[in-house]
Amino acid sequence: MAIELRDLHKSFLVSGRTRPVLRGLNLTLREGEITAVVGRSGCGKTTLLRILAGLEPWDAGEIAAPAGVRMGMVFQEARLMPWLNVRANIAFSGRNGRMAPERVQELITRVGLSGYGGAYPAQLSGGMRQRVSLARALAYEPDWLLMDEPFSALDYFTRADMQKELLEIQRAERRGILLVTHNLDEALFLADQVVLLQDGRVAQACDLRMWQKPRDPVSREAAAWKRKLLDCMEETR
Amino acid sequence: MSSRENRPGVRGLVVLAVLLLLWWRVCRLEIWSAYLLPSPGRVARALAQLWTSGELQDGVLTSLRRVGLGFLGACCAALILGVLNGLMPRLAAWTRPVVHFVRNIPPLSLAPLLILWCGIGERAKVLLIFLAAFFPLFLNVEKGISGCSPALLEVGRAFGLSPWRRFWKIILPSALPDILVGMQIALGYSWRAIVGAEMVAASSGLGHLILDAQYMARTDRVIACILVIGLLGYLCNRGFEGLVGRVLRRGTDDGD
Ligand SMILES: Nc1ncnc2c1ncn2[C@@H]1O[C@H](COP(=O)(O)OP(=O)(O)OP(=O)(O)O)[C@@H](O)[C@H]1O
Ligand SMILES: [Mg+2]
Repeated sequence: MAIELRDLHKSFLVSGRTRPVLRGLNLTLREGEITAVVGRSGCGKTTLLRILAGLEPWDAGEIAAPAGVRMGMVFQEARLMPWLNVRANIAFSGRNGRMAPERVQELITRVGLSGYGGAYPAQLSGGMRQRVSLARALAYEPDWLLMDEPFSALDYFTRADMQKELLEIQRAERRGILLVTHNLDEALFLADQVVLLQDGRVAQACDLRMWQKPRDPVSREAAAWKRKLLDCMEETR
Repeated sequence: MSSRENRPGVRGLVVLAVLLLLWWRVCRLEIWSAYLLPSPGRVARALAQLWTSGELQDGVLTSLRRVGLGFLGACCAALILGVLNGLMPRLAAWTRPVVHFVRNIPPLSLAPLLILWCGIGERAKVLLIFLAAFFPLFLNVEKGISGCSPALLEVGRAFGLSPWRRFWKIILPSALPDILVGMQIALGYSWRAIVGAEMVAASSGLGHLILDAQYMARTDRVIACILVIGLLGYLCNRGFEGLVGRVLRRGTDDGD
């Protein structure tokens, strides 16, 4: 279920003037791979995800995706239903809004929130809410996970746990992941491909497929790959 | 701390007791005649008399039935129209001037017309309550429905919910606190309207009982009925507050 973006254009009308955000973006999201998108604030990363999730129309270009492909969106903000507890928020995206309680429980454990199933969003921390939002997207059983800086509010250790979970989701469930992140180390640890978004295009794409997972972020090998990624990203600056 | 906060009734009772004591004391001083201000004892006796004669129960039931019918009707109409208006801002632009024009007319001022059109039967009174309850509820429903967060609606779209399910699973629950508050206000308005209506045009009900007592110069009966009206209104409100509180406690804040 690869997804192909060809010559994608998108502009917004802001105070009477059209502001181009995507200007001829080309990108291939390969099946079952993790693609990390990096780029400066305001360069259009969220816009790209929203287009893929079907929440935003685009102006020109083409998106070639298999029919009926399911996109599980993890928004930049958690966007939980405040009147539902954690369990109900996760089951929210299940087919027909229903899910087996065991499955919900499994997802809760997976995002490290055991014991919080009955809590309401207002009773959770920002990072906990983000993880509920991830569990909700997983409950949708998507072919692709679209994640907009999902771990930005997490501490080092929880973040590391979540990254391992993502790798597991990729490995065991064969889901593709498109991950927006500001953290190059995160991209380095997770991604098969890192793309730099700039001026509305993919300015650089760095292929990391040759580096076997799980990766050791502090090995000699890691240093070499980081050098490669940085060189790659530097070229356009 | 929390156990004290859960029982605000106790502190309220203290104030009530003090007021009662004050009332009793003032009566003992005999500043005003017993006709102008009957003592608590006389009012209690009047209340007992009203009870044994069955007039009180009759009046309460009659008034309650009218309030119930009018309020229920208003709820149905206000929910349907409020939801339609909330979902369709363009429709709301058409109806808004009319709504705000009519809602500023005190329902009781329509009594002469309603009596003319419907006679002094039950219909006029129920209609009056309907008018009193409809507008506060309608406006709250509209506010709640139209105020639904676009960010949450988008979550529904992202996960493929049909418009119908988006309404039931996102729009309606997010509007629920507003709707309940609207119902609470509407219920209060109904109470006020019914007593007024029964004083203008009725031969039964609590309002009529008061008017009747006035003709017979029975101030003690008047006060007894007023106390009953206050008590019933208070109980209705308490019940509703419990309901609203339980819904609101779940939180309306998603923290984003
Ligand atoms: N609904 C909108 N209307 C008008 N302009 C918009 C809208 N959404 C985004 N934009 C504009 O598009 C550009 C890209 O926004 P986007 O949210 O995609 O950035 P981003 O890369 O996700 O940034 P960040 O890293 O800060 O989240 C910005 O300049 C923004 O002003
Ligand atoms: Mg963004």
